Amino acid sequence: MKDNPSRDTPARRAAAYWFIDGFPEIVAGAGFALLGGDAVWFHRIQHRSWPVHTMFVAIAFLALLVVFCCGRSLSLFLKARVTFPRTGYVRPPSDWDQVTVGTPVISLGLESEQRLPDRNVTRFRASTIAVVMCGYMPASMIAKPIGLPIALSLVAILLYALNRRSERPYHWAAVLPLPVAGLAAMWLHLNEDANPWAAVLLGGVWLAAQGAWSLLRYLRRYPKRYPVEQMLP
Amino acid sequence: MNEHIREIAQLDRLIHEPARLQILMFLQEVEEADFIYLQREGGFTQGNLSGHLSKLADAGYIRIRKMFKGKVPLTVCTLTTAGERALRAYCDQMAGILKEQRKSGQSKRG
Repeated sequence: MKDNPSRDTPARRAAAYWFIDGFPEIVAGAGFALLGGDAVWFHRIQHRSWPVHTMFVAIAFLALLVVFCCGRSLSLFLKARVTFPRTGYVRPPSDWDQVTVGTPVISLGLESEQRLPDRNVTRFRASTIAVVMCGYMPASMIAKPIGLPIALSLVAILLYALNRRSERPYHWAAVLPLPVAGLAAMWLHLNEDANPWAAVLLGGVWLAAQGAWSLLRYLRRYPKRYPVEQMLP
Repeated sequence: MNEHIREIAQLDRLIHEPARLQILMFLQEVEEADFIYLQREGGFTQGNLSGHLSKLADAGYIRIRKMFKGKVPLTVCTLTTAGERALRAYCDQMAGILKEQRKSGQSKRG
C-alpha cells in the first residue's frame, strides 16, 4: 500500500481522506472473512444438521449485510470515534448518488449543476470489494487445489491494476501475500466446495490486514485528538 | 485603461479573498467537510477560519450545521446553490479578465 496516493484535486484528496484510517477496508475485509470463514467451516463439517445450516445462513447473511448494506454506516461509526477527532471529517462526492438520482430531463435552472465526481468512495466498492469477491469464481471453476493460488493471483493482479491510478493504490508488495497465502492454503487440503470460499476468506483477511496496517500508521501519525471546544467555533 | 482591467473592481470581493476562495473551492469538490478538515487543508488558524466561515455563511454561500457524529461534535460546512453559482460566476469573470490580459500583453510584445 502506498503512503501518498496521488492528490491532484481536492476531490481526490478528500477521497483519499476517506481511506486514511483503513476503516473501510477493515469493515469490508471483516465481512468477507466472516462470509468465507463461515462457508469453509460449513463445508468441512460432515454432519449438516439443521441448526448448523441455520447458523451458516445467519452468519452469511450478517456478513453480506456488513459488506454491502452497513459498510459505509459502520465505517462512519468507527471514524466518528477515531478519525474525526484527529483529522476532521470530509465526505467526498459520490458518483453512486449521481447514478441513482440521475439528471432531470426538464430543468428550470433552479437545480445546481451536478458536481463532477472524481474517483471516489463508491469506486472502492467496484475496484476492491468486487475484485476480492471475484476470487470465488476462478477457484470454483478450477476444481483442484491449485485453483486457490491461481484465483488469488488473479485477484492480486486485478487489485494492483485497477487501483493503480485511484486514490487508494496498492503497492505490488502489498498484494503479493495473496498468491503466497493461496499456495500455503493448498496444504490444508480443502475439499472442492470449500476451496472457492477459502479464496473469499483469504481475500477478506488480506483486506482487513491492509486496513489494520493503515489504522496503525494513522494512529502513530496522529496520536493527538483535537479538544472538543475546537470543533465548535 | 483597458476595459478588462476595470472589470477587476466588479469582482465579488467576498470570494476574491484567497482564504475564502480556497474554502469555497474545497467545498465545491466535496459533499461536505468539517471545521478541522478545512483548517488542516487550508492551513488556517482556528479564529481565521471561523471568521471566514461566518462571512461566507452570512452571504448565503455556505451552510453551517452543528451536529454530532457518534459522540463527536462536528461543525459541518456545505456549499449552497447560491455559493456554487457565485463561485462559478467569479471563475468565469476572472478567466475572462486573465484571457484579455494575456491577449493584450501578447499584442504589445508582438
